[in-house]
Amino acid sequence: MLKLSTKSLEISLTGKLVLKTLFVLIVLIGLLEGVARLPWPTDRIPAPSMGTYYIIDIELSRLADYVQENDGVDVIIFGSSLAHSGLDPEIIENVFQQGTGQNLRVFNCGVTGMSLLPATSFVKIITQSYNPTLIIHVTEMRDYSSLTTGGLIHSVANDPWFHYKLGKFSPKGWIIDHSMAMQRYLSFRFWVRDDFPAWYSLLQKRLVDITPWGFEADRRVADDLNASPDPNNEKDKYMLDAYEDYQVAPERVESLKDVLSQPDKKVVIVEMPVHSAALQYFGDPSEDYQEYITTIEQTVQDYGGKFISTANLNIPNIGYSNKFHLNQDGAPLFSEFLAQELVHLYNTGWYQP
Amino acid sequence: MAITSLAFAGFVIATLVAYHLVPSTWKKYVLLIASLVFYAVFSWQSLIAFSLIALSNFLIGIQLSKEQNKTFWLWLGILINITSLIVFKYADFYLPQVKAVLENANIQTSADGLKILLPIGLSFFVMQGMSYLFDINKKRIPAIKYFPDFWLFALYFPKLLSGPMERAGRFIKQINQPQIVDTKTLETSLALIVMGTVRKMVLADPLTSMLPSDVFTDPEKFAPHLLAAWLLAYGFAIYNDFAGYTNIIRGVSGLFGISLTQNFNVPYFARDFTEFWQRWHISFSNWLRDYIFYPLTRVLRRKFDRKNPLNVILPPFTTMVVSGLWHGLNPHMIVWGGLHGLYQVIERIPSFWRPTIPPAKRPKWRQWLGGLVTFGMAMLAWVPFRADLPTTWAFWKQLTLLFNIPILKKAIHPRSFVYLGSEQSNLYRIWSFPDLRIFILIIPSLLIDIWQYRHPDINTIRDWSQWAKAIALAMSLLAIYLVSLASPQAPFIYQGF
Repeated sequence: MLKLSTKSLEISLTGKLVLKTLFVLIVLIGLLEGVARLPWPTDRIPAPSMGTYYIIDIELSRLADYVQENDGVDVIIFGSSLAHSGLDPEIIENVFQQGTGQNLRVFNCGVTGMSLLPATSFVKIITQSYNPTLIIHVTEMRDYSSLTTGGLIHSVANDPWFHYKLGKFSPKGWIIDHSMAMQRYLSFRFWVRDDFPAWYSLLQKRLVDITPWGFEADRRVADDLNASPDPNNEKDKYMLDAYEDYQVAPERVESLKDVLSQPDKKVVIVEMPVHSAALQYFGDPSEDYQEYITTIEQTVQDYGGKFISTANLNIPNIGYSNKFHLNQDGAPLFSEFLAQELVHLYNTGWYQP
Repeated sequence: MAITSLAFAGFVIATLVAYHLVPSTWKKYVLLIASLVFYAVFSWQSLIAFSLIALSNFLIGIQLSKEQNKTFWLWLGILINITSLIVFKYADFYLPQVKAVLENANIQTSADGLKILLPIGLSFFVMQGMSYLFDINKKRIPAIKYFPDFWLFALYFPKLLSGPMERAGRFIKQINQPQIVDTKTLETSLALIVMGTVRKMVLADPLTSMLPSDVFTDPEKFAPHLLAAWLLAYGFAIYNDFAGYTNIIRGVSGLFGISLTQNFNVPYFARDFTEFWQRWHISFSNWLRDYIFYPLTRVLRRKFDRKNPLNVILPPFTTMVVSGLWHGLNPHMIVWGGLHGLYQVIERIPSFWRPTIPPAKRPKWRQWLGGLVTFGMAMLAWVPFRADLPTTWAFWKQLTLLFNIPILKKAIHPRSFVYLGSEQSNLYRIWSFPDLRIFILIIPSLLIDIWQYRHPDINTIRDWSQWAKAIALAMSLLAIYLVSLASPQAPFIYQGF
């Protein structure tokens, strides 16, 4: 019994209430954990969440299911929304099988906003957990500019789960990683927001649209690809300001080197086939493009990886949803192209699944 | 330093340690220093302003007790307090006019240059100061002769931001002879803190943050039943916010052996509006009763017969209009206060032909009916509390469509276009049924209220078995943690007054 006594205080505490409260808490958490581990309908209920971004959650959940279904995964594709809606692994698997007679298990782990900088952590975590033999990372010019600061850069940098998975102990990260109840709750963490119903409705759509291979077709078609950037348009102005004086940033090249340095893994860096009009955002299009290609190609070579240029890939205008993203007509072309390149790498003996 | 923050918890613990360790004669100085530090964290300029107003009230109080020129000193005190309220609180109201006058005289100003910082909790501070002067004037209490005592009464940190409005006599007695904090007091105080935190963080914050941003600016966008549901959400949000704050503050103060006035007593279970105001913001209602309602009633009764309509209409109506003005110098706040005044006037009409029966002695069906009507009308009155007058009117107009069955039938159809007449059609929100989240949060709020209604004395919590306490505490802690992960952030609504 703890006794506290001063002129204004006369307290005796047995600690029984604290112990009983702890016991009830443990029982409650145990019950919640049990309910969370029941099979939940994956097409209606959001994927268990790590609390960073719901597309990451869906991709992680789809990847876990894919690995369980196929007994592993050979190739994981990383990148931003450009990769997410640009490469259909189902097509890559089929073309590769036809070209080599070999089965290839491919999963698209592209996530909206996952530019090169935050992707380095993501690649490391996923690669350690699922052990693919080949990593494909899709990048484009903007990934290498120090002025590309949006997307998931800040959320990944401050995320407790990412910290924990990368070896920095964080109690919250540990709880998130180990508790399914927490992951289930985090998938509804926006429940207090006024836009939750709208978000939930969007989520339902995406849960249906994202395939078991992690790919999500973009159904939009660009209406005016060749229009020049308009400095009065907010988005165009942002792009012009950011990329007018384009330079490949050394720190982004370091991130690329991190991706290329996955132990015992083959790494392929693929150039995203953006529309030629996208170069209009860059001050000196051909020179900037050349600087980007030369630097990246050289770095990839130095680290024993392969760089796949898409300069010769011709995608018609109808295959774009905007100047950077491919849509449901463009994605199959890019996927076939990449599959053929993989067949080539297989035939040369550089890559064996 | 929000009172639900870890910083505030740390501040309270540090103050508690110092308070309970120092000799008895030093305890009030520990509280005074803590209060000064607490307010300086918000704004040291406001601390100076508050201290000066407190000093003037203190000095005027002494003059009033000397029985010479009492009227002069009382009016001077009222003038100082009201002026400070006008200068700081109603700056938004008069600054545009001042700016226009200066600009007409070719004196260039900027809005920022004229902007005056509104000290948090000013309205509570001023009301408390005025009640002190009134009470001395009426000889209900003696003047405080020692400024640090008065300074602490004025600035005591738990009640500084949003009340409760304490009376000087009761408070000074407590700081000079604080109650010993024993295990029972500790238990009750912690129960109040936990209950208050649940009300604020688990119920009020989520209800506030899920309110669509345009519900009180563009009500025509919403189908009537959705509008009614969101109004309900707002009504419970504001109640849990303020009641939660008061619970926390009373609990914190209890840890220092100082008991603060109960400010809420399940107001939504009131059976008429007289009872509503005996249960809602009790310390403020008592202030209005003692310093406006009763004096006005006394004056009128001297001149008119008890059943004269003026006697029935003027005191409640004036009192509630003043209440509206205290909340803000805006037409919509006056309408909110006026509406509550009107409700009370209507309730008093039967007193012309029969004596008033207290709610508890009415037949059960009348108590229930009265409760439902009071609750519904209180909800309707929240509209002008939150929205300006044109929007209030649009809101109420839209709500009347609840009684238009053909339109309602269409409104609950997903993505329906609803013809409203005069070639006007509305595309209502795609979510045709009221948001389930509102009811998920209102149910626990009502459960707490039912318990409080049956056990008005919080001390009965001590009679619970230890397992019952452990279950309630564990569930509360888990709920607070889980809701905090969803990060709803809403400042205390009454901190703005």
